[in-house]
Amino acid sequence: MKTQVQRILAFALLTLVAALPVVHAQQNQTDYQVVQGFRTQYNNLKSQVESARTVDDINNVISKINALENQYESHKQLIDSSIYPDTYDGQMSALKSSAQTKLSNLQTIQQQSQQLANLNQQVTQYSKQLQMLSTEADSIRKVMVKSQTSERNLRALVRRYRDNMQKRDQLIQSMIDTLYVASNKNMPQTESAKGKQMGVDVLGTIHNLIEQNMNFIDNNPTMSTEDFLHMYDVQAEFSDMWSQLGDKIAAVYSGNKKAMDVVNNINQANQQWHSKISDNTFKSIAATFKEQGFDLSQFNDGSSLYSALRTYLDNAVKRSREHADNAEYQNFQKFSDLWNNTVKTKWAESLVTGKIMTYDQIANVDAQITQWGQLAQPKSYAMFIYLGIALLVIIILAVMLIRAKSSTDKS
Amino acid sequence: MKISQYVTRISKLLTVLSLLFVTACSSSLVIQNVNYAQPVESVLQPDANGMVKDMRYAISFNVTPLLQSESTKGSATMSVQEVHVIRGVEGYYYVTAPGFKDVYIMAPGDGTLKTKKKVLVDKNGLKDPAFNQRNPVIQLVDGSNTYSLTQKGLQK
Repeated sequence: MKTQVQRILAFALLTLVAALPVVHAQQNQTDYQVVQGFRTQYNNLKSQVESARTVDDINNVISKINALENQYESHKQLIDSSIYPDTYDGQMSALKSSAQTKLSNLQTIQQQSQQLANLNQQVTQYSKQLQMLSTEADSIRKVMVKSQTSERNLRALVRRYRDNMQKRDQLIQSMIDTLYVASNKNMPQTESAKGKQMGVDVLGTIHNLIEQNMNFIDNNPTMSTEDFLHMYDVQAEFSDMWSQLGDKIAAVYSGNKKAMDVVNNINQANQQWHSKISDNTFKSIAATFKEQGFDLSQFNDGSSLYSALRTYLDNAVKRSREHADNAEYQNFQKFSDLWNNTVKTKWAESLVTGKIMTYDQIANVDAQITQWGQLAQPKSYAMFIYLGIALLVIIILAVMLIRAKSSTDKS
Repeated sequence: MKISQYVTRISKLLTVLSLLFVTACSSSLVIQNVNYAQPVESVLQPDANGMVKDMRYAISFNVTPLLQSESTKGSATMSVQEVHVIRGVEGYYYVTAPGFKDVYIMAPGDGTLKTKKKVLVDKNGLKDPAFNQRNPVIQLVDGSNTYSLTQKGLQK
């Protein structure tokens, strides 16, 4: 027992003696070493704040900042006099503030990266569905062309085709709305390689969407004017969205060559898409008028279309003023039917939403057609004939009355 | 009283007055209890010519005389990588370096630093000396050894 106690005491003494130099050394840390230690650790943490890339990184740095503060709080006076005119409190406050700002930024980036991932998923989904609908539409059209057996079958196919086109338009509208919402929030300011790649993927999907639409137009050149006008509307909406989103994307990815290449490709593809759908739409409108016998002057946009209609109607009014006959009147009636039953009933909404014509312009054309109608109506002589007959009858009756009266007088 | 006595008295009075006047004019204004203490030592690296420059406390001087003083007679002048300097509350500079046996307590003069006291601290040479300001003394730490210094030398 006594030996054991002696052993324990000896061990304790040895430990104390061994630890003494360490303790002594710590206590003997010079003021210069304290100040240098603070400076080194402070600068280290400052650059760690700047280089932090994730929320976890910066939270780690914030813990170290708190540890630094605890470690050097007792040496505040010494540090103040060594780093004058800076102060210990001033420096610690600045460091903590910078770390908090960085944390806030990284949290925002994290959220936006998540949003970007969701957006990418949605856009990819839309793109796949669009591809499916495009393929289906192609198949239906091919069958429609081949189908000559049953009118009932053909009608069913046409209905399916119409539904497909409607779904396609709605899908693109939804995708545009999604991208609009994303563009109205702050664009993802992600600095991570993954975030940037996701952004490039979204851009790639948008580019594919445009390509798909152009291919669809190429593969379906004989769509109805109504369909072309719908597609024109969709393209116009896409252009509006892209003009807002494109600037923001360019600002975010300005240092990323790959992303900027895709942005430039989208700009070019969008212009081509506009050009293609515009060309097809106006040719289709011209063809519709021509089929009815109305050869309008050439037009390739809303302004020249309106001008062509006004010119045609001006000439028609002038003709009618000079020489109104049945042929002219029939011409008027055909034009009026086309205008009222096709243009105003089926196209007007798309013309206005696609900014091809305004309601005022449509109203002006209406007024001109009415004027044409009034002038084109052949003049009717029936009234004069009836008036002449009536007068003759009155004269005959008057003569008979006079004769009757004079006979009576004689008798 | 005769005229000559008057003249003598007036002369004496004038002399005394003159002396007083001159004394009053030639005495300088002295401000007491000035604190020159430097809060933390400066660790300065000598250049090829032996010059050290403290940018923060605005002093520069050549340490070659100190190195020569520390070197053994007959052998080459020692060289050091760094010199430790601190100014005490009274205004004296305390200078030493790793390898030095002594601490030099130096008084600033007209473009000079004059050795007020050369304090032998470790005849084997200091290994890693450093100064701490511990008003009214200067604390010298060298490893596990601690010394207190004033303008008069080592305090026991």
